[in-house]
Amino acid sequence: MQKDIRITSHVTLVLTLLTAMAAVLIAGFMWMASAKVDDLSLTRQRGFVEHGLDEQVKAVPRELESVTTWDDAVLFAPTGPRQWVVYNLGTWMYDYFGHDRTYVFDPQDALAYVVREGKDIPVSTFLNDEEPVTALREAVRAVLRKRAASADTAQPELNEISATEIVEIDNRPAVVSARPIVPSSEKISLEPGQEYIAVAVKFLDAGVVDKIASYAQLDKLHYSAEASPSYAAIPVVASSGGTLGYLAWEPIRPGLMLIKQIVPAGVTGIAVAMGVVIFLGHGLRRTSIALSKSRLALMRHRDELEETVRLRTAEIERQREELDRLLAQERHVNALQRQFVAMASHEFRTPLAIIDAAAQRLHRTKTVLKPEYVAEKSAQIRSAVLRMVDLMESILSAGRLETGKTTLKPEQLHLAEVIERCCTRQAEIRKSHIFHQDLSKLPGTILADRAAIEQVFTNLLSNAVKYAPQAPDIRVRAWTKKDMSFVSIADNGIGMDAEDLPKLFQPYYRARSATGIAGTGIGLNIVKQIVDLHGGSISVESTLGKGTTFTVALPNKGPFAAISKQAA
Amino acid sequence: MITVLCIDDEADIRELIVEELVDAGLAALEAANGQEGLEMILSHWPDIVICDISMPVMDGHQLLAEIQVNHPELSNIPFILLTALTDKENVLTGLRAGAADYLTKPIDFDLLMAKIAGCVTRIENDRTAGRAL
Repeated sequence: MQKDIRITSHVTLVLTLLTAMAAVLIAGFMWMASAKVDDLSLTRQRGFVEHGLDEQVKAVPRELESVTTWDDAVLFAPTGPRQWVVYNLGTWMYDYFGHDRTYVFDPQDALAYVVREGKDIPVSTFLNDEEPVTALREAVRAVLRKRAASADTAQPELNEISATEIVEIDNRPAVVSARPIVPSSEKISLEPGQEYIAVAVKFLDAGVVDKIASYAQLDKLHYSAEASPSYAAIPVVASSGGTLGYLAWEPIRPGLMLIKQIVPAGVTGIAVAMGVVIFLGHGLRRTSIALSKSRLALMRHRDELEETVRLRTAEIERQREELDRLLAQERHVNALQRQFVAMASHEFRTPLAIIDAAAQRLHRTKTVLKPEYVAEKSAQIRSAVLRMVDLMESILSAGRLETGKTTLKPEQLHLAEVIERCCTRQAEIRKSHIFHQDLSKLPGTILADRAAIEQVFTNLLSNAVKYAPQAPDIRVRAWTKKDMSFVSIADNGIGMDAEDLPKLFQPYYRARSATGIAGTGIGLNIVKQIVDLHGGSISVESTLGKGTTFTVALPNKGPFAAISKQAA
Repeated sequence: MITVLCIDDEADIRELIVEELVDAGLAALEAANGQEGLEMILSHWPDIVICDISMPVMDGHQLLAEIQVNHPELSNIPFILLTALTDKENVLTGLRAGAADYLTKPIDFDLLMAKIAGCVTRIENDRTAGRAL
C-alpha cells in the first residue's frame, strides 16, 4: 500500500521535474536564439553606425569640394574682398554643412583665412589646432608638388586631390579634410604651385552624431570618451591610430525584447503546466491512497470474514463433536440400561420361577406330601428368596455406591475368615465347584467394612463359578506385601477378550464371552467401588478360553483416607 | 415310555421340572447347558426336549440352530423353550428356529404339562400309526 503511494509520489515528482526540465530547455533554446538574433542585430547596428560615421567622414571632402572647385573661389581667394571669401568659404559652409572651422592657406602655405563657427577669426589666433590641419595641408601640397614636377598624364585631376583624416582637435574628434582650391571650368587656368588650399574641420559633435543616429535609426546614439559595458559602441579611430572615443548607443536587442514579451506568458504557461502536473499527481496520489485504503479495508474484511467463518465452522464442528459424543454416551447408557433391565428381569424371574415351581409342586402333591419333601421344597424356596434378596441388595447397593450414599463401617476384620465363609457359602450353592484356599499368609485382621468385603468376595467367587461352568477348580490365594493384603481368585473358565478388560468394571458392562450366561453387569462394578472406597485396588488378567484371575489389594490399616475423602 | 430331556443351568428348576415329569409318568433326563443337552439328545434320543435359553457354554438358541443345521434327523423332536426371557425378539427367534413352543418363567406347570401331554398324544398316535403301517 505504502509502496503504491510512494510510487505515485515519485511519478508526480518525476513529471514535475520533466516539466521543469522542458521549461529550462525551452528557455535555454529561446535564450540562445535571442542571443543569436541580438548578435546579428548588434552587428547590423554596428554596421549602420560605422557606415553612418563613414558617410559623415566622406561627406566632409565632398562638401568642401563645392566651395573649392569653383572659378570664383580661385579668382577671389588671393585678391577678392575678404568678406566674400570668408562668407563663401567659411560662414556658408558652417551654416549649411556644419563645418566648424575652415582654414585657407595661400600657395606659400601661409594661413590666409580662418573661420570659426562661421566667424572670421584673426589669423594670429590660430594656435593649438594648427598641427593636424598643417599635416593635411602638407599631404595635399605634396601631391600638388608631385603633379607639378611631372607632365605625366596619369596624374590625378586637380579636383580629385584631397586628403581627409579623423583627428583630435581640442580633445574632440574631428573630421579634417584638405583640398586645393581649383577652377570648375576651362575659363580659368591655374598655374601649378599657385594653388590655395582649403581645410575644413568638422567636429563629430551632436549634430553629426544625430545624423548618424538618424541614419542608423538608433535614438540613443551618442559620443562617449569611454566605452561603457552597458552600451554598444564603435570606436572613433584617429587616422594616425589610437582610439579617440566611442560612438555608443543603447543596443536594440530584438531577441531580448521578444523574450521579455514572451517570458510572462512562458512563465505563466510553465507554472500552469507544473500546477496541472502537481494537481494531477496529487489527485493520483489521493486516488491511490483511497484505493490502497479501500483495498486494505477489503482485505481486512475478507480476513475477518474468513476468521469468522473459520471460528464458526470450528465452533459448529466442536458442537457437533460434543453432540456426537453426548449422543454416543446417551446411546451407550441407554443400551446398558436396556441390557440391565433385560438382565434384571431375567435374574428376578429365575428365583421367582423356582419359588413358583416349588409352590406349584407342593400344591400338586399336597395329597401325598411327605415331611422331607416339604422341607426340601421349603429350602429351595428360601434359597431362591435369598437369591432375590441378594440380587435386590446388590442393585440397591450399586445405586447407593453410585450416588455416594454408602458409608463404610470399618472394623477389625479377620479377612481369612470372611473369605472362608464366602467360599463355603458358594460351595453350598454351587456344588459343582471346588474352592482351593491358601489364605495362611494373610495378617490377623485388617480394618474394613465387613458387609462390603463379604460382598466383594461373594461377587468374585460367584463370578468365578458362573464363568467357569466346566472347570470346577477355583483357586483362592492370599499374600501380604508392605501394608497391603492381596487376594487373587483364579478360574479356568471361558475367559475374556483383552478388549473387554478395560470396560469390565463399568456398570452394566458384560464381556462378549458372557453371552448366554445370566448376569446383570453390576457385580464387578460394585466390587470396584467398594475396593476403591477402602483405598485398595483391583486388577484382572484374562485369556479367552483359558480363564480369568482377579486380584484384590486392600490396605491393612483400613480406608481412612477414603473415609475422610467421603466425609469431605 | 416317553422320555423328556430337561436342559436348564438352574439345578433347582431342573429338579422341580423332573419331579413333575416323573409324577406324570414320563422318563426324565437332565442337562445343565446346551452342550450337555446336545450330547444327551445324540446319545438318548429323547422324545421331547424342554430347554432354557440363557445358559453357559451353549445357549438354547445355539442348541436349536445346531440341531437344525448339523443334525436334521433330530429336528422332528418337539422342542419346548422354557425361559425367563420374555421379549418378543427371543420368542420370534426361537419359534423361527423350529421350537414347538415358547413358554416363559415363572413356570405354569398346568400349561407346561398340557403342552407335554399334547406332544405325548401326538407321539403315541404317530407310533400307533407307524405300527399299523
